[in-house]
Amino acid sequence: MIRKLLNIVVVIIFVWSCSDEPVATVFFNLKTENGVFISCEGNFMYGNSSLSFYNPENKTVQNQLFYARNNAPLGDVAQSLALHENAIFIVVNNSGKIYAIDTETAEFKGVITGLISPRYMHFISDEKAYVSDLYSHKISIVNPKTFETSGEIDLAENHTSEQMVQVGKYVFVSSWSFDEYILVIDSETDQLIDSIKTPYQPRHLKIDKNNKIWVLSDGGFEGSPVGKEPAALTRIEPETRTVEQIFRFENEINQTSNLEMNNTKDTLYFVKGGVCKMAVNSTHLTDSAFISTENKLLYKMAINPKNNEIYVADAIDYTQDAIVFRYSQQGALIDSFKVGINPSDFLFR
Amino acid sequence: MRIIILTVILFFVNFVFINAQSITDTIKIPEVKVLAKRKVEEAGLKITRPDSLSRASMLTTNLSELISAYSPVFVKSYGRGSIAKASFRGTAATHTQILWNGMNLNSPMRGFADLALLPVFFTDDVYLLHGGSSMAEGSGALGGSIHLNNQPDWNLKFNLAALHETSSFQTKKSYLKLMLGQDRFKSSTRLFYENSENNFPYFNYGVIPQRNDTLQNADYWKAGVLQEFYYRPFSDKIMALRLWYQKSDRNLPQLMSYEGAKREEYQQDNQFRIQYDWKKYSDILNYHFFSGINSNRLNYYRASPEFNFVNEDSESIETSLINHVRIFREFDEKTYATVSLDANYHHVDIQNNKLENGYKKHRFETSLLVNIHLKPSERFAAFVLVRSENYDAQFVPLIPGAGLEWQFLESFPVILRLNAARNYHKPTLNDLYWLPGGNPDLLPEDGYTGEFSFSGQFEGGLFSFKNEITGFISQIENWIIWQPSASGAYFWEASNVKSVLSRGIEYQFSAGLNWKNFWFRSGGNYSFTNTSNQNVVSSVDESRGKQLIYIPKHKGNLYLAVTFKKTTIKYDLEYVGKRFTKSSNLESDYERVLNPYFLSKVSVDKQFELTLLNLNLKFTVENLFNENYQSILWRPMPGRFYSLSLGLNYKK
Repeated sequence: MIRKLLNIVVVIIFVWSCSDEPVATVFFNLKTENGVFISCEGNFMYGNSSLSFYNPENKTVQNQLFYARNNAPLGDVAQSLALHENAIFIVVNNSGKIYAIDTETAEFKGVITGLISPRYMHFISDEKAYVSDLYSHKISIVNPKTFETSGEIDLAENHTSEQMVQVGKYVFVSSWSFDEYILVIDSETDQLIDSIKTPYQPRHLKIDKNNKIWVLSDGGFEGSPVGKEPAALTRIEPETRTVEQIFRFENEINQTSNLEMNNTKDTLYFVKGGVCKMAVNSTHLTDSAFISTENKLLYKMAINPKNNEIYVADAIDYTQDAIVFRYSQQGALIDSFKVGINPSDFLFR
Repeated sequence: MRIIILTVILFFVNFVFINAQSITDTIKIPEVKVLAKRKVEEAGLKITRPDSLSRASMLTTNLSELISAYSPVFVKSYGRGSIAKASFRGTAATHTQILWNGMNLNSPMRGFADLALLPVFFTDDVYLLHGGSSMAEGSGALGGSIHLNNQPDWNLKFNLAALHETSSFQTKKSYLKLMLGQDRFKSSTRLFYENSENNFPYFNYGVIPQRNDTLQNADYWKAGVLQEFYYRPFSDKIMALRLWYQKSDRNLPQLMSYEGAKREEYQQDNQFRIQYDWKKYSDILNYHFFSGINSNRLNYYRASPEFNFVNEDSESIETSLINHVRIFREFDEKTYATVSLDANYHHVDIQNNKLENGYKKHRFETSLLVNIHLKPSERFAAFVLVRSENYDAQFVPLIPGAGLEWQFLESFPVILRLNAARNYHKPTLNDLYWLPGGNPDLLPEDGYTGEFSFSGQFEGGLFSFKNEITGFISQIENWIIWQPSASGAYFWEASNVKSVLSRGIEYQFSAGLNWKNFWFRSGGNYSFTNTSNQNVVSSVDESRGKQLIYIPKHKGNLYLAVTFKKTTIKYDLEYVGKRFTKSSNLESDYERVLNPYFLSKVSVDKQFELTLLNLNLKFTVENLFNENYQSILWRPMPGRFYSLSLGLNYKK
């Protein structure tokens, strides 16, 4: 009887194991000239990040692009996207790697591995790019053609690297994590040559029409070893590498996050209880939002450089697919669509 | 469909044994007063107790494997040797309280106890109290509680037991128990050492190109000693002193998709527990008092050696002083009462050596219980209890609970059990004070739970069959979760966010049959758990009413064993249903859900009995059908593997 029973159990398990069918590869031809790629972090240590593509002309969205085309997961925490020639580089932070895919087909082209906690990628030339890292005192130098690491830039102790912008041959790097400096790298010598002190935890960087660098610092948190101060916008003169002006957000009810620039580079956008904007030559901070984020858990905001349309991602509860709201430049809702979990970056083509 | 398959298996097994009655026509079920056999303090409580043979067969495992294989409770395990947490009835790990001889082992800092660090070898009795039943022993167990007890065998004067197991992936486990003493004094010493390279092969489909891989950086070792002294000056008085020291060092592997620089990541746990326990019995009064210290030191380290960068280097020291006094009184044959008082002090000191920050906090908590037990007849018993709690100078409103048991037909051994309770769970110290994101304004989680069950116990001649079906429902308000800050800050913070409704069914059975020289045994558990968040604010939120992530709706286990002339062949089957990883329960080809899996295990066990010495040789095949499964997203689990153990037991 026991043997019969075991046989039945074995048969049931065999039938069961045959029920999972392999997933077919999906081939795309996206016509991405006017669309936006959206990386979605997923949840830390879940390995469930994803890539979406939205076409604003016909209002269609394609989710899980990477997995569907390449039959493999994107990895853990897709942090940012960078475009170079006909490849999109997806920085997968907690997988320690950067995937390169084709812009039209999403087909895997290569992978840069061996990184620690990569955050952003900045291209110097066809054969050289910098990769910032949250958990390293070095910036990695990689070759986007061969997908190999070709060197590194030593940052002084206590500095790490986050976002990067370039003015002339100098790359300005925010050292965000428990730090208060913008680091200046000479992209010809790959050396750290200077640093500029800012309010605590400078993170987001943008360049305006006057070639000034804008820095958004989040100010840290209560109990932080480097202290806590109000979030601030800082304007830096890159030629002299000096701070020209600091705007401090005294009202701390809502944290200040995200920093974007319109296509004429004369208006800054940031999030503080809603989407706010401020002219780059303004003498005071604006504190009133023109797009409300009430009842939304705003995770990421972005501006389409072609038409200044504003994209706002609502993470909902952080563990389900987020919804992205698309607004006109004036703040009128145009469309909304679902993407993956926790959108982290928008790459407009 | 899958639930139907499992149900068919369960019913089939029942059918086998019920049909077995026809094998011998001498089996008759006599009049049974099942209720009369139970302790009055246990009347009305839902208890699961893995039988002693099952526990004995799992001596070389940790508690997570025992609970997973022999109870309806779901265990979320991060892999072999890695952290494992119990989830009762769709609740969180922090809602399961683990008690060792009555002493709470849950971390006051993190709120849960790691089941992987609790060796079955260090227990003599393990039982589970489900839902509101846990209120009789302690508070805060919104899901239930797991009780590990030690007790001496006063009939033995000398016992030496040694056990060694070698298994795949360079795993070695050694256990030793020495018990000696006379009628009044006993000393028991237990030691264990376990180490594993844990470098099992797996197919890595988390990278491009997909490839055969070997798990890296998952090795671990654990060692511990448990010393117990028992003194019984009179037959009605027992004193015990127990000391438990344990150390473990576990490397933590990366997800399958990781292709970054080499990481060094490990967790070290140093645990020390001491307990003085005193019991006195009389005809109408029983006293129980214990006082103990539970101390944990946890080091977590993560670095990238190639880049000479330390990400995290933290040290957490928790010290809890736990005191308990309990008086049980029999007023008359129908009325009894228990009064207990707990007074505990916890101190937590967390230092992040990398960031040079942390927090030091303490908590003083008290709990008073008054529990009235009524047993107006041999077929009816009930209890009514109320708890009063205080922590951090806050009073929790009175917590009531009540339950009853009723064997409604004298000649039919089926018992109806009803139980309802309110319960609270205090925020952990990390929830309140972690930097950044701890929220000192958190409210305790507040739950109501109710259940009913029918249990039947049939014994006759060579056959026995026992089963129980339970329906439960519970509502937990102010459920605490950590999520990115709603204020827009980049860090995560703790909030009272969810309102969770959990309801379901648990079914358990065990059966035995002696037939000629064969002894057949079987047992199993099945649970259906529907647990969902009801508190959804945003209109676009699709999580309302959906199953909570990582909680399977279906979970079951089954074992079949036959013993013939000291040789036992045993088959264990474990089933875990689909688990969602998105709160919206969305699934498609590329939306990851964790697929259901069956795990089979077969063991052959041969005993050799000499006069005073028992030898035991056992061979086990784990994951018999080489099931490819994940317990946690993108964490590989081992395929088929083997173990061989040799045991020696000398008794006098």
